[in-house]
Amino acid sequence: MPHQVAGNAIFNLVSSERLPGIGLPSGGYLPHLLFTARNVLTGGVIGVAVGIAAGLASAERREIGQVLGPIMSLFGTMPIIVLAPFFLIWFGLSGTAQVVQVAIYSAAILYVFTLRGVNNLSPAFSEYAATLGASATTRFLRVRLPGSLPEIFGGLRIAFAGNWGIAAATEMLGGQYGSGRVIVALRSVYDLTGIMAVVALLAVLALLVDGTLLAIRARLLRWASVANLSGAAR
Amino acid sequence: MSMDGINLDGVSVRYDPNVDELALNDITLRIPAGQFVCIVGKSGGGKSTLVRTLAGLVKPSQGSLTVGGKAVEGPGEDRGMVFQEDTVFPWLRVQDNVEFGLRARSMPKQERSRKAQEWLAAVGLADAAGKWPRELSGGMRKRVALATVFATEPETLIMDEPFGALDFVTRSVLHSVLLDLWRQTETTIVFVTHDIEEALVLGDRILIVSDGGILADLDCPLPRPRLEDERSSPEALAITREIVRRLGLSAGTPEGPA
Amino acid sequence: MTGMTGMGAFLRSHRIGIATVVLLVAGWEIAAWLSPKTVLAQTPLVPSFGNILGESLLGMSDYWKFPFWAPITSLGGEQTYLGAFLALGWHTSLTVLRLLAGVFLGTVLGVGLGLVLSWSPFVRRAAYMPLGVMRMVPLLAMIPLFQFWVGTNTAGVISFVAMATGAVLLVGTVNSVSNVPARYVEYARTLGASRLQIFARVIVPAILPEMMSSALLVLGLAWSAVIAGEYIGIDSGLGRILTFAQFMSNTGRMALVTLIVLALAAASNVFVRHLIRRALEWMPESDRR
Repeated sequence: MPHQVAGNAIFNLVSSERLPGIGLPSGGYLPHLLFTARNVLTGGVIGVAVGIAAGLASAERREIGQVLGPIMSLFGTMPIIVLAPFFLIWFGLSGTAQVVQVAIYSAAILYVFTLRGVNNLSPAFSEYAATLGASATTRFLRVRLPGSLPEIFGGLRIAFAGNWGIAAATEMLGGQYGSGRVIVALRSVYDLTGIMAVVALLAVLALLVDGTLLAIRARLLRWASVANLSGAAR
Repeated sequence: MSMDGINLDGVSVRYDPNVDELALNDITLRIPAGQFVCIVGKSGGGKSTLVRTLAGLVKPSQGSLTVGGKAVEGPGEDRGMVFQEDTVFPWLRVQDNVEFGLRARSMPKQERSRKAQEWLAAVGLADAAGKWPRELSGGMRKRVALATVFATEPETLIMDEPFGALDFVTRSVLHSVLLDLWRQTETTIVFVTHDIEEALVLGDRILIVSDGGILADLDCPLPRPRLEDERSSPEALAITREIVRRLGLSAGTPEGPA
Repeated sequence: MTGMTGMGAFLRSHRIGIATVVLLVAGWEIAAWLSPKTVLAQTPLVPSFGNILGESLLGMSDYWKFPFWAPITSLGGEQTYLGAFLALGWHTSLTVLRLLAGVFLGTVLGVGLGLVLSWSPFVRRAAYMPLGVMRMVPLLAMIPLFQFWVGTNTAGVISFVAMATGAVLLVGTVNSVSNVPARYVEYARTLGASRLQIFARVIVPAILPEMMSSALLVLGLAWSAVIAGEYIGIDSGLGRILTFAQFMSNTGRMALVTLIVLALAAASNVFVRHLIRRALEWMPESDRR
C-alpha cells in the first residue's frame, strides 16, 4: 500500500492524465499543492503576525487585553472551519477565503501562546533588567519578547500543523483549484490511492515548514534548554 | 568481619563506556550498621554518584556492593532515599504521599493509614494529612518526605543534599527532627552535603569525596546534641580545619574568583 | 446570595470586554444594513439578526423530514416554528452525539495507545519519528478516506473525529510521558514501587497538566472534525445544513447554524475548563493555566 501511494504521488506530481478527466485543469498535483501552500503561508504569516502583536499588546496594556481578549477567545473557541461557507461567499473562490480562514486560526492560537509566554515569564527578569537601568522599551524588546519566544514557537508549530488541514477542507467546499479540490474530485471516481497520495504530499509540505520552524527555533533559542523561565517556586 | 552495614569493595562507575573518565574510581568502604556518615566534597566530585549507587539507581561497572549482607541489584526495600529536589508527589495528598511506599509493600489499607498517621505525627505534621503538598512550605514538604521514607522502615537511609535548598532556621529544625528519628530507629544514614557545618552537626564520621575517590575518612566524635558550644569546641574546629585543608581551600584561593 | 453583587462586579470588571462584544454585534448589524443581497437566495451578504432569528429560523423547518409532529415542507407543507425547532433539535443532537462518541473513542484509543507505547522507553524513543510525522498530517483533509473505509454515515463521521482527536492525543501522551521529571520516577523506585505502580500512580498523574493544556485544543479540533465530516460526509447534522445553505447562498441560515455551533462549542469549552480545574486541583496555583 505505502509504495502504491508513493508511486501515485510521484507519477502524478507534475503532470497527470487523470486530473483533466475529472474536471480539473491539466497538470499534476503540484500546481494545486502550491496553491494550497500559498494560501497556508500567506494566511499563516498574516495570522501569526497579528496574533503575536495582539498577544504582546494585551500583555503590555490591560485595556488592550480587555478589547482583544473576547474577540480572540471567540475565534479560539469556535471551530474555524464553520466559517468556511461564509468566507467562500464573501471572498469568492480565488483562495482569499482560505487565506482568511488560516489567518484567523493562526492568530487565535498565537494570541493565546504569546500571552502565556509573557505572563509565565518570571517578573524577576524584568525587575532585574530595570535595576540594571534598562528602559521600558529595552525591557520589552530584550527581556519579555525573547523570554516568551519558547511559548511562541510552541504556538507556531501547532498553528502550522493545523493550517494545512483547514485550507484543504475549505478547498473541498468550493473553488476550481487546490489540493482539497483534487481530493474531492478523486473521491468522485473512488481513487483512494490518489487521495492518500495528496494527503501524504500535504504532510510532506507541512513537515518541510515544521522543519524550517525547528531550524529557526534552534538558532533563536540556543539558550533555552538550560533556562528556567517561569521561575516557579520549587 | 560482620556482614551487616554497607560494604563497597573496589566499586567503580563509568557513565559512558566510550569515555575513559570514571565517576567513581575503585572505592572500598565499610559503614557499620547504625552509623551516621556525612559525605562532603566539591560538586562533580562523585558524592551523588556514590549515594545513587548505594540506592541502586546507578549500577557499578566494577566491584561489589552489599548492604546488610545482600548484593545491591537495584532499589530495594531495605534502603530509602531522600532527594535534594522536592520529590513529594504534588498530585497526592500528604497522607497518600506517606502511604506510597507502604502501598508498594502491599500493606493493608487500615494498617498503612495508621502507620502514616504515626509517622506524620513523628515529624510534627499530624494535622496536615488531608492537605495537598502545594499548601505546605518547602520545609514541611521535606518533613513529608522524611515521614514517607521512615514509614517504610529502611535499614539504610540515603540522603542526597536533602536540605540544600532550605533556609538556615528550617534546616536547623529539620536536623533535630532527623537526629531524633535516627536515634529512635537506629537506621544507618549516609548523608551528602556541601555544607561542612551541616556535616559537623550530624555525622559520626565524615568522608571527603573528590575526583571519584575517597580523599579522607574522618571521625567526628563530638558529644551530642551538638549545640553552639560543641560546634565551636577545639575538636570541632580541628575537624573543620582538616576538611578545609583537604579540599584545598586553606591558604588563599588558588582557583581565582569563584 | 451574592448573585446580584457578583453580577455587578462581573459587569464592572469586564466592562471593556462587554463593550467590545456589544460593538461587534452592532457593527455586524450595520454591515447587514448596508450589504448587498446574494443572487440566489436574495438574503443580504451579511444577514441581520432580524433575518437570522426570523425568516432563517423559520426556514429550518425545511430540514424536518419525519412524517409526524410538523409538516414536511418539501411535500408542500407550511414552514412552522415547531418544525424549525424540531429540525434544529434533531440535527444538533446528531452533531453533538457524533462529537461525543468521536471524542470518547479518540481519547480512549489515543491516550491508551500513547501509554502502551510509553511503557518501554525503547519503544517510546522508536516511536518518536513516526509520531512526529503523524503530527503534521493534515487530518481535516482525510475525511473522504473515512467515507470509503467506514462509510458515508454516522460511523464514518465518528471514526473520523476519533482519528483526529486520537492522533493528537497519542502524540501528546507520548511527549508528556517523556517530559515527566526523572526525580519522581527515581523516588518512587527507592520507595519500592513496581513498574505498574509507578505507571499508575506517578506517570499518569504527572502527565495530566500537560495533557490538560492540550485538551482545549483537542476539543476545538474535534468540533472542526465533526463539522468538516458533516460538510461532505453525511446527509444530516449541523455541518450538512450549513453546506445546504451555502449551495443556496442562504447566508441567514448559515449564520443561524454558525451561531448554534459557536454556542455549543463555547459551552463545551466552559465544561472542559471546569473538568480541567477539578482534575488539577492539586497543582500549585501559579502553574495552573
